[in-house]
Amino acid sequence: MDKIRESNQSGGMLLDERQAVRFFDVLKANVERSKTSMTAIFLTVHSQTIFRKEDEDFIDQGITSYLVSKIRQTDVVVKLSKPYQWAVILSQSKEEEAKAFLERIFNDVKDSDDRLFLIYDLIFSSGVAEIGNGDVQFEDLLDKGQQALANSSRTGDWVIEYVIDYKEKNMEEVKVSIIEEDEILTNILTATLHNISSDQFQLLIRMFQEGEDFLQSDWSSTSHTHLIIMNDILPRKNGLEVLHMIRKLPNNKRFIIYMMTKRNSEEDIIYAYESGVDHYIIKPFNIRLLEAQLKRTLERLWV
Amino acid sequence: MGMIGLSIEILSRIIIVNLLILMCLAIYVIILHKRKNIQIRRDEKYLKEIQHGWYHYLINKGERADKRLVPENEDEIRVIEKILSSYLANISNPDIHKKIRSFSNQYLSHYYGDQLKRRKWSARMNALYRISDFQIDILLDDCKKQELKKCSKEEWLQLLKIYSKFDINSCIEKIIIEPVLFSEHEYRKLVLNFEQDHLERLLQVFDEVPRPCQFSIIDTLGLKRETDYVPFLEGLLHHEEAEIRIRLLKAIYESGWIINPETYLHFVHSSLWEERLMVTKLLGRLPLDETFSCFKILLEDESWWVRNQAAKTVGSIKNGKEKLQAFIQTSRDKFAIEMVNEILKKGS
Repeated sequence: MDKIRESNQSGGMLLDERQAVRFFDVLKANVERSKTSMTAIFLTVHSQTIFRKEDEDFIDQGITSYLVSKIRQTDVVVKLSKPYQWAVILSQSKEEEAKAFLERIFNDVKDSDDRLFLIYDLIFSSGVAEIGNGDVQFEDLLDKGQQALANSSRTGDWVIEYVIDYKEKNMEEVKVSIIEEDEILTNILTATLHNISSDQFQLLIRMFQEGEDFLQSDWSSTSHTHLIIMNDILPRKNGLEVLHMIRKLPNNKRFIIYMMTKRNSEEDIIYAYESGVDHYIIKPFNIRLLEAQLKRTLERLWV
Repeated sequence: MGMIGLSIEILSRIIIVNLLILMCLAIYVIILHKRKNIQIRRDEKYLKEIQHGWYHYLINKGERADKRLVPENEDEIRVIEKILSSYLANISNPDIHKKIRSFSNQYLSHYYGDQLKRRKWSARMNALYRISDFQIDILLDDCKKQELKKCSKEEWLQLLKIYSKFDINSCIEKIIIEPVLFSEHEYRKLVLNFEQDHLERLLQVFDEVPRPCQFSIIDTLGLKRETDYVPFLEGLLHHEEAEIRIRLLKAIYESGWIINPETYLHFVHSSLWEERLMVTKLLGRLPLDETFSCFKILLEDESWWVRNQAAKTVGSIKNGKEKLQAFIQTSRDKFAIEMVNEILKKGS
């Protein structure tokens, strides 16, 4: 027991159920913003030995301290109001990481010579819920988690039960602007972009023939992730001017800029990258490679 | 009074006639404008109709050209020219180029063959451009017949471009014979588009081609930035013509590859400041520890350009500024010290 308490000090955060509701909202908003899932693990213990009323505090406190010592500083242990039940929220983690975490804990407990585990011969049951969107309410999650715990206990010892209700990510809208004077090339690029399909994002494509048209539109002022494919030479504000204006915007990190050009001198390329271009495409370019590059760029947003 | 009355009558008649002429002209211009607008709208409509079909054929692995893509009149050919030219200028996929070649040979060659026979220079030039761009090799003999007619310089250049794609022997032969005097710029436009094996053939006859062509070959090799051509460039560094040597040094610098540094180190002591300037740039591509003894000489060069370039080059290399600081302490050349100080000040 002393060993467990000692390790508490270096572990993650501990909250009660009431505190967890507010903290969960922050984590949930972060899931939506960073497009990275988090996972809630529900745990309960049971034993062949019948627990007495006076054992409850000892077991609850002991396991709480143990769990806190096992998580990262970015994770949270929630002591649920029901006895012998906990939730562990692993931020930026998916089901696989949660499974690995639980297996580590289970093996650790089985091999442990700690008094807590030896006296009571504790057996764990668990439920895992991956959360990929911000729509879930803590109360609902709790219900599902507790149902999963009940199922897990019924199925057998050391079983992990998965909740899949909250896994699906919300489809993100990505703005795409093609700024190019040549109508035929614009249409080739648009058709190519339509080939890039995904269930994670939806592309909202708009075409502009002049740099000034794009800058004057309110299209660029939202907080969407915004992919720009533009030529370096454009009528009324050329590509480099548009680039400078975009990189001065407060939300400029939202823009991924592909610049197409006929200039392939070392100086031109370096200057473009130093000015904030993300990809420099020399014309004529291989359209299949561009498609693969665009696809990879978009996928990387949802790693 | 009678005189004035007559004058007014004549005057009013003149005005009426002029007004009528003006009205006729205005109607003519309006009709032309309307016709042009109708044509533009028709072209736009046709472009919209077939664009997707072309995308499917060229990019989406369409094996055969849809019959709807085959043009039926000159207006449609003009729109197709626009589409194919845009693909060629912007997209590099080899299979797309192959399809354009095959389609053009099959469906456009007849039209461009007829255009070559026209008396209108712009029609012939347009045909020559398209034959070259769309690679209509079926018309090679028709192109050769053009030579027998009175060809303009522009037509000759375009013919050479066509030969460089379909008949490299004729192309090189013509460059050597030099039927028309081309400028260096014109040769460069030609040589830049040579495929690698054709360029290698041209290098074999380097000494026989006209001097402006030699300049353009050297510049092109520099622009290619390929290590394969550097031995050729280095091999010519003892050429008797100074302009050639300067161009060679520039091309080696631009290629970014230095294979045998010892072949050009003697240019540090050249009597021509342009050669010393170019070798200063080149030395910047090598480790400073190996080259600083040369830079010491160049920093004290009599030419302002060479001194300036030497200070700039050393200053831009890692640890270069420290070397320049040390140089100031030991040099006795006040012009060199002045230049180095200026560069150090700018850098900070």
